[in-house]
Amino acid sequence: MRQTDFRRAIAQSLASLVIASAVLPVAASADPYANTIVLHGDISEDVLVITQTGSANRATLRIDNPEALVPADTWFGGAPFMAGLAPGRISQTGTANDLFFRVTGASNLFAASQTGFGNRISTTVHGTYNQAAIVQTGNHHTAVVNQTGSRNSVAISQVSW
Amino acid sequence: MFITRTVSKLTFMCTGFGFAALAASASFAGENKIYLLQNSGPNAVTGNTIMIDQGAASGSLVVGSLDVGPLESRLPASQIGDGNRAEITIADTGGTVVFNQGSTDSFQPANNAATVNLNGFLGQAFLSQQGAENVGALSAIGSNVFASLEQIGNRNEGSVSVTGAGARGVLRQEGDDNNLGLTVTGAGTTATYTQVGNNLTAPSGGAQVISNGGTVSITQYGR
Repeated sequence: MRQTDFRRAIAQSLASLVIASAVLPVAASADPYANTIVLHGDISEDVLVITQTGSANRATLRIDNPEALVPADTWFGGAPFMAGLAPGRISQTGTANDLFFRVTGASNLFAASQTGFGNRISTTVHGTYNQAAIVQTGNHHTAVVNQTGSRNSVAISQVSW
Repeated sequence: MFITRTVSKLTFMCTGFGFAALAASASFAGENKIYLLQNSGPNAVTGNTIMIDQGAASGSLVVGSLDVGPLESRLPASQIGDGNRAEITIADTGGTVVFNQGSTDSFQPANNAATVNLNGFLGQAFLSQQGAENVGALSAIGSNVFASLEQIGNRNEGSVSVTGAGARGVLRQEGDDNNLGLTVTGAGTTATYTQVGNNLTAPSGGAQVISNGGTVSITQYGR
């Protein structure tokens, strides 16, 4: 993908949401998930950034971005997306973290990275021109991808140390 | 034993998809897993794209169903529809890919393309494609690797290359105007080569097996 595509994607963003959840040990929380983030609604054309560090964190995202709001033929490339983890990006570092995101619509860009042990990413995408990049570093990670529609793209990198 | 055999035009049939040849499950350090389903629906000109890189991770797995159990009872990772693209790379011991690209019509152009590169001891790759004008390429390098490509439809291009001691390669095509390439190299290798159809070609040299003590199975018949 060309850098201009990244810049265009960023330029389309009307707002930037940054959420950073603190490190909490699992035992300190009654919730089985030490930190839980749930975002629903139309956050189209936003850049979403979530950073979670620690164990058993959970992030659940639902993005509704109607295709009618997206310029025609907005298409982003594939492989180069892997390295930069450009907009909206979600990062989880630790053990047994869980990320689920559901995207409905068109031309959404997602990048999610998990580093550690036993982390899981699940994504459900309905629509067109959506793109996801997933980078998991460590051991015993799981990625689940379910895409319905055409011209969607997902790139997954799983590397152990 | 040294065998080199090139076949330019064949019609034949052989065994099916080789799940029975799966190695026993083992425990590995990395064990990263990917479960994939992409469905572009009917009449999609351009389908979906998947790129997977499982590097430096032993025991990596790409399948389609979350349930545990033997691979033969689980769904493959799938791209359903036409115009799909897949590039899958797995490096290190015991990587396994079970992948399917399927068109709703076996005889209409599907134009799916999949490339699987496997590098590591005991690696296993199973790729199946349905529909016409698909392109499938499997490469597996390492001891006791296994690679199997099955294409059902017309005007498909298929190639399988396995290299390593005890490596096994399976290529099966059913349909007309298909072309193929099968290369199996290593001690004690096994090659199974199957085509059913008419007007078959092998522009890359057909089947080539270089081995000492391996087994070559070629069955061909017209339809």
